[in-house]
Amino acid sequence: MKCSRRTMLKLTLLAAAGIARRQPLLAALAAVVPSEVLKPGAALKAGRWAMVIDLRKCLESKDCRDACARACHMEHNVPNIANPQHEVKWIWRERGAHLFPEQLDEFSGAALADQPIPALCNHCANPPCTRVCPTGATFKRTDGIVVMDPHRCIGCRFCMAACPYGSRSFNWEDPRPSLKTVNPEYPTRGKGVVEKCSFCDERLAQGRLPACVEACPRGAMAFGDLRDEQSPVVKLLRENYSIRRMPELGTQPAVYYLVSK
Amino acid sequence: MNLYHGQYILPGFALFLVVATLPIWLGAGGHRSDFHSPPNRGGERCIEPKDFMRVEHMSILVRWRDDVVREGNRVYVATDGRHWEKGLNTCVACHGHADARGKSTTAAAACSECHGYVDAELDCWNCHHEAAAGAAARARPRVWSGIATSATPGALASSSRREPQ
Repeated sequence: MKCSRRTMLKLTLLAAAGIARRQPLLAALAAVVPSEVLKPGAALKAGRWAMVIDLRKCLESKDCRDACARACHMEHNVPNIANPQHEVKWIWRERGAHLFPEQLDEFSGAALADQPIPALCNHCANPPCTRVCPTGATFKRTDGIVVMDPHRCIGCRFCMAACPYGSRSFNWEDPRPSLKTVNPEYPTRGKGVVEKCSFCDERLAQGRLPACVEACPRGAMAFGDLRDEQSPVVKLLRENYSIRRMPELGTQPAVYYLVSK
Repeated sequence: MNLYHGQYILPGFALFLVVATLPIWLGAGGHRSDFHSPPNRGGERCIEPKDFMRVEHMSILVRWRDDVVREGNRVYVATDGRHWEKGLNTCVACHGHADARGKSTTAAAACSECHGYVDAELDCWNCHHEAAAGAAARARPRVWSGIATSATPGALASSSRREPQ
């Protein structure tokens, strides 16, 4: 068959039209995929999220049996691993002398030195961890929360070396076998990624306060927006004497501890 | 025809042709791989039309992942106007369940059927829950109703009584 250029062009056009007809949805895709994303009205928003832990109330209660840590670890499927070298923790208790090494001496705050004080990620304004992350897996959100994106974590542990507060844990092993109960609403992590407290960003999106704040039987933990004068944290900080962990480092922690003067 | 060693070469060539085209003949008898659709508990429409989901589910998931983790955008507005919570749990709420014989046909099984076929390693379920939660999460409506009433413990407790028979 002799095929003139004109016939060839006609055939090409017809074939193209045929393909397009078979894929109408693909053609429509371009218009569909950039989905319109709405933010639910219930979500809690802030300029800068912060937590205030009133140690006067917290240390008073000896019978809470770490309600905050248990609630958090249950909620976020944080494994309880016996081997201390493989330990994973989001919120834990630490001796005051370890948490506030430059602030306590044998006279001022001496009573705190041996107390088990709750510690968690400080969600620093100048987080050293995000600066060293080579993949951008950990970053600071506009509301001040320092989050981990485990999808991008390559397990290099630079962030753990950079964090002066020991707030990050590495998954040396698959956490699933060490989980007694699993909260199906929240993913577990995989072997080889770093994890830490997220200020419960998933709960804030649903309009709920962080799990530890909700669980504390003494109401010793307050959570709110530092940029909002009406928020409970600002009120507490205005009226009470507070300390933060290692202020000399300039990280500007968002976790404040109320102590008696 | 004058071909040296033709008695070896011609049958050998024929044999070569058969072997080389064997994959074509093996697939000729309608031996197409026939994938199962992922299990569907609800029988309702998926978030978008089926044909669209078949082609684009992975783009949606990747987009959702970045939206939720990086941007904090957690609500997907479908083309028909329905709102969905972005997340694998939303998928698994319908697509992950045990079948009538009690055999687990989770979403992960349906996923790995295709992904195994194209030899694409699937590691979503190393961290995300493939069977999402048994009754509570399955019964929990994933349609975002603006406020998180569906996530209250009461709603979870009452809905978890609706066990599939």
